[in-house]
Amino acid sequence: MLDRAELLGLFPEILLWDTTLILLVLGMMVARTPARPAAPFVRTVAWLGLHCVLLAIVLVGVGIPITINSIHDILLTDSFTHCCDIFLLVGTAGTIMLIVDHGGRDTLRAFETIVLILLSTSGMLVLISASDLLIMFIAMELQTLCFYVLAASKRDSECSTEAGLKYFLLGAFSSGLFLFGCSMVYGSTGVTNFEELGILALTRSWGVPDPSTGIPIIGILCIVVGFLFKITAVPFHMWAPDVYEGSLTLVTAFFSIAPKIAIFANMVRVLNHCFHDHDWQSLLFFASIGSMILGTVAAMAQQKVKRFVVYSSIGHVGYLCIGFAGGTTMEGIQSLLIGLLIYLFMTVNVFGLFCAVRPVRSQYLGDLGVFGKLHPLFAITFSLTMFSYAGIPPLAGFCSKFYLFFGAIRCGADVLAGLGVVTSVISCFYYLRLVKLMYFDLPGEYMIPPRLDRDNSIVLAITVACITLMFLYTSPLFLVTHYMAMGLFAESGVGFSGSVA
Amino acid sequence: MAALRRWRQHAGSLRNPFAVTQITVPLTPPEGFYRADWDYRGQRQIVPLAMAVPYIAPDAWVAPNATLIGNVKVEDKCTVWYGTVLRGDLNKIQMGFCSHIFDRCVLHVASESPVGLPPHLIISHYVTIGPYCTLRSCIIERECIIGERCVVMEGSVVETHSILEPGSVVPPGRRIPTGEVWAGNPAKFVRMVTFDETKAFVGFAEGIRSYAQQYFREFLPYSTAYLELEKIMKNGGVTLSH
Repeated sequence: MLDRAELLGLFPEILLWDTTLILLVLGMMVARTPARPAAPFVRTVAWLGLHCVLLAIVLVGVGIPITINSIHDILLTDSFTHCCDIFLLVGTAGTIMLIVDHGGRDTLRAFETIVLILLSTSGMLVLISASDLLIMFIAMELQTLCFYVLAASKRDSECSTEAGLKYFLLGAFSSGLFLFGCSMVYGSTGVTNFEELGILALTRSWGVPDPSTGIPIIGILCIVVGFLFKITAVPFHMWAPDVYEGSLTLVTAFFSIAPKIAIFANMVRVLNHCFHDHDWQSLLFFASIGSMILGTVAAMAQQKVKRFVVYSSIGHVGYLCIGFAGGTTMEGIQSLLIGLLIYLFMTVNVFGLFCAVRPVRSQYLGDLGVFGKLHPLFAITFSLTMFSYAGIPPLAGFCSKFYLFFGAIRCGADVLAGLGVVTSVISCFYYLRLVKLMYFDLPGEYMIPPRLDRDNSIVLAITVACITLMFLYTSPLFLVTHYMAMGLFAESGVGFSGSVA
Repeated sequence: MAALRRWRQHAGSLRNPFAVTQITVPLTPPEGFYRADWDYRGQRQIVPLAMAVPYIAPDAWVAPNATLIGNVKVEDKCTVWYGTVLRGDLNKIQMGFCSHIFDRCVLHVASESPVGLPPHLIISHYVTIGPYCTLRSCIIERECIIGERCVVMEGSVVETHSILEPGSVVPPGRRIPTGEVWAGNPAKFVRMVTFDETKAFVGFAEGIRSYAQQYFREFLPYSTAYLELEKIMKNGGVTLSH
C-alpha cells in the first residue's frame, strides 16, 4: 500500500486520471443523449480539462517542498520532476486553451480529443517521474498510444489518417527498439531500477564481452535510439514532418510541445542515473549536429507553414541536445532546461498564431503576407516570435541559445557550440524571410481570418510577454533550473563527477 | 394573320406592362388586423433572410441606419455609411478588406447575370464607392474608385485601378479594363490612370478608414436604447405583446 507521503506525490496523476474518467463518462452521457443529437461537447470538455490541468499545476506546486519521494522504487518525485511536471502542465494548459475556442468550429468535433490529451498528459507525468525501465516504457506507451489516436483524429481527412498510420508504425517500431534495449540491459544486469542500474554502472564496465560483468552497449544504444525517435532528432526524424503536417494544427501543437518536455526530462534522468558513462554521448553528439544542420537546411526549403515549424523544431531539438551531448554537466542540464522552457513558450506562441489564421487557407508561408497590413498586432507578435526563434539578442530565444552554447563550451564541446552558432546564423535567414514576407511583400490574395478568440489572445499575450521581457528579470528562471539540476544530481548518486568536465 | 395577332398582343403588353385588371383594395383593414405605423425598434441594421445572416467583421464600421439584408459579408476595416442598403437576397454580396460604401448607396443582386459570371456582387479590397451609387451583381476588383451617383449594372466588371467618374452608368456586361478612367451615360473611356494615381488608391482607402475611426469610436458594443424603451413602457403603458 501507498503511505500518505507517496499518495501526496501522486496527487496530480490521480487528479488527471479521475478527471479523464469523469470527462469521458460525462461526454458520453451528454453528447450521445437523444435530446441533443451529436452535440459538439468539445468546448465544455476542453474548458473543464483546462481547469483540471491548472488544478494539477497547483497540486504539483504544493508538492514541491517534498524533496525526494520514492514510491515503491518505481516512481521518484523530487525537485527536478516537480518542475518538469509544471513545465509539462503549463504546455498542456496552453495547448488546451488554444483548443477551447476551436471546439465550436468545424475541425474538432470529438470531445475524446481532450480526454486523450489529458490521458497522455498523465502518462507523461508518470514518464517524468519514472525510475524504473518498465514503468518508463509503460508510461511512454500510454503517451504514444494516445498520440496515435490524436494524430488520426480527423477522420475525414486523408492526411490525418496517413499521419496516424505513419506515426503508429514508426512509433511502434521505436518502442520495440526501446523495449529491446531495456531487455538487453535487464538481461545482462538483472535489474531494471534506475538507482540500482546506476550503482551497477559505477562498478561494472561497459560493453565487456562477458555479459555477466558488463552492461551491453547495444542495449543502451537501442534505448537512446528509441529516445531519439521520440524527440525527432535527426537520423530518426522521418515521421515528424508528415505526421505534424497531417494532423490537426492543435494536435500538432500538442505533439511538438508536451512530449519534448517529458521525454527530455526522462532522457536526462535515465542517462544521468543509469548510464552515466559517456558511451551514449557520441550518439547524441551526432544527433545534435545532424538535427541542427537538417533543421536549418530543410526549413529553408519549406513552403508550408506546418512543415516549416516542424523543421524548425527539429533544429531546436538539435540545440537542446547540445545541453547534454557534452556530458551531463550541471551547466548542460541547466541550459537544457532553460532551452526547454523557452522553446515551450515560443512554440505555444507560434501555434497560437497558426491556430488563429488556420480557418482561412493559410497552409502556405506566402499566405502569411497579408497580416502585416491586416492585423498589425498579429504581425508584431509573429515577428517577435520569429526573431526569438532565430535568437536575436534581447529576446528569450537568444537567452536559451546563448546558455546552451555556453554550456557546450564549458564542457569542452567546442565543435557543437561553433556549429550551433553557424546554423543559427543561417536560420536567421529564413526566420527573417518570414518577417520580410509579412511586412514588405505585397500579398497576392487577401484572406481575412476570423477574430482571435479570447483564450487564444490570452495565451499569445502571456507567451509573447515572456519572450520579450524575459531578459529583464532572468534570475527566477536560472534559480529554478539550477534547483532542478541540483535535484537531479543530488539524487543520481554520481554527484558532479559523472561528467566530462 | 397569326403573326399580326402576335405582334398586337406583344404591343399591347408593351403599352402597359404593369396593367392589372381590377384589383379591389379594401381601404379599411379587416377586423382584428393591426399594423403599426410606428415601430419602436426602428429599422434593424442586420436583417437575416432565410438562413443567411449578414456578417460584419468586428473591425468594420456600419452606420446605424444602413441596412444589411441576407447574404452579405462585410470584412475587416470596411465602412458602410448612412442610409446604404446592401440587399443580398438572391445572391451574395461581399466586401473585401478596407472597402468603403458611402451614404445612400443601394447594392443589390440579380438572380442571374447576362454574362457567364456568377451574379454575385463582389467588391474587392481598397475599393471606394461614392454616395448615391447603385450597384447590381457586378464585380469591382481591388483598388477602384466609383464616383458619386454611378450605376453599375449586372455582369459588369470594373478591373483593378479603374476610376468611374461621378454619374457614369455602366451598362450590363461591360468590362472596364484595368487602369482606365470612364465617365458618362453609357460610360465611355476618358483617359488612363496615371502612375501616381495608381499608387494613391490604397492610401486613399486607408485614409477613409482612419477618418471613420472616430465614427467607430462613437458607438458602444450595445445600445442604451432599451433603457429608453423601458422608461416609455413604465410611463406610457406601451406593452410589447398584444
